[in-house]
Amino acid sequence: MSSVQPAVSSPGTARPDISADTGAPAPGAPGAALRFAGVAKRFDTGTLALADVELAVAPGEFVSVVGPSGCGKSTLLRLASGLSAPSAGRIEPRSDRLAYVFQDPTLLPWRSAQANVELVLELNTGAGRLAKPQRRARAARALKTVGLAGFERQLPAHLSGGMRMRVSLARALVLDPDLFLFDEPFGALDEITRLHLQEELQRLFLSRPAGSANSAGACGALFITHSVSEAVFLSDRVLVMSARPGRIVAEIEVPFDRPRRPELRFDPEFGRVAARVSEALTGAHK
Amino acid sequence: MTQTRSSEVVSGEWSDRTTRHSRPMTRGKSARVARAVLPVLGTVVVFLGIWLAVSYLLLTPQRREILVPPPQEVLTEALLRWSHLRPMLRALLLDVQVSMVGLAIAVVLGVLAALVMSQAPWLERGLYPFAILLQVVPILAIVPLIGLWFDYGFNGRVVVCVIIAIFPMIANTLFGIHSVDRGAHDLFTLNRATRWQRLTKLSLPGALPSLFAGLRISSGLSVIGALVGDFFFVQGQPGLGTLLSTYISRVQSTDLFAAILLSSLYGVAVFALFSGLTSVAVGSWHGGAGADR
Repeated sequence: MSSVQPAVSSPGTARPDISADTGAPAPGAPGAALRFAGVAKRFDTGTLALADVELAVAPGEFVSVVGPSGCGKSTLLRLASGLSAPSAGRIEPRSDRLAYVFQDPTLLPWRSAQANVELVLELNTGAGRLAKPQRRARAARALKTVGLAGFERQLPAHLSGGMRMRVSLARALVLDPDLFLFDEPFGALDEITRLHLQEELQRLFLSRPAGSANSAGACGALFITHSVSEAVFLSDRVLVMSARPGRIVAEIEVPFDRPRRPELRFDPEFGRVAARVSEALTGAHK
Repeated sequence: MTQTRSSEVVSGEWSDRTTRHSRPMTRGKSARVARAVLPVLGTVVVFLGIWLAVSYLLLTPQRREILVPPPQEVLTEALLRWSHLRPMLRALLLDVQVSMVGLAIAVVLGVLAALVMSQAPWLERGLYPFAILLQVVPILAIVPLIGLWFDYGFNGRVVVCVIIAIFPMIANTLFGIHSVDRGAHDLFTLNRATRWQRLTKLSLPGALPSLFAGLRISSGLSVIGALVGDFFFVQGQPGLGTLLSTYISRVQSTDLFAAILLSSLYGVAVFALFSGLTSVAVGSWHGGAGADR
């Protein structure tokens, strides 16, 4: 369709080699938390939103996708979550336990913070359904993890935007998922809250395997954003998408150890990585 | 966000109230009471002024008695005369019963109808025209028929009342269900919510603010419905509508005005009751939402 070939080398390992952009194990290594193979999505209107998307997220890996607005980033995430079906290609394995963090906090305004977190446990009618006291305890623990202890009984209207997003994060954590999907969760927040929540998110993500109740292994994360520095700060790998039809045109490894300190954002090396993402993004606009 | 948007659409008065409360000038309880009562008193005074002016300035004494008896005469000739007031109060009691039973049935049926329609687009397309039909049906023409089908007493009047009051319940509940955030629906889909869970944990609570907006409208209509039933049935135990029709035919203008005042006051009381109920039911999360954003 277009002369631009996906510049995807092989998607990386759980903890990418610091020196290499390439040479990681083949995509779809067994146990990948998420894998897209030749995925395309055409809407009913005829618009081709995504074309030939290849990507893989390994367990324990944090992958960001950046791209110009309207490039199909959110569509990518809806496909990954199963909310919509691809027109072509395969998406696998689709974990049963995934947590989707929306652009808006998407809290039910009539439910308290606690009840909003409990909701996703209530909805589970399967075998693993928890009894009410356990649901309550799990939700309270998740709220404590995101720093909202003491705010359990507040209605969303009485919480700040940042706090509402924390409730949304707690609601994702309480599911103890194998895969996190983030759809620009901090896009609507002010800069200070945003930076703060990025650090929080990193902390939560790193501490999760240890703190989780029944997870077999580390979970993966696919994070959609239009902020280059957010993507670099949070991720092990950054994928750059082209304008519509969206495809992945570049992949940049982020070589920094974790936990990453906030000061890292002022590190010259951080700037260089961010610059590479920006360049790829500028190319993607054309 | 969704709740802010719907609060503007459905019930503007809530956002007004919020702004008023958050005004820093709010001083003490008496000030707040005064702010609530004074505008109403002012309106009443102006209303009485216009009434008096029309009676005394526009009309000759002979025509005044028939067309617009002045307020003090309505008070002394009708409202303060027990022999006149007593039948009105008994009629009012009947209308209270008819309208409340009718409203209750309209609410239950209306919400159920909206829930059924919300389950599938084809159901809504198929059923909504009938809901509109209820709204536009020439009620004057079918009221006598309803009397024949049911009776001229309690049941027939309740049926008239339901027909008149049900449409806002259906329309507002359905609107509320449709205006629930799509992201919230995605959340329920992702967590494999059952149809029942989606209904009871999302659609219905999400629709409550507009359901209550519909309830406020329907409560007023149920009062009208009760009186319309009386008015056209004429037979059976008299309601206020029956008395109105009698007073009109006998040109008992002071009684007529007294009965109109009584029925209006009852309508206002019902509306106030259900507005209060709204703030108790959804005020905490629906009304306050705007202030903190």
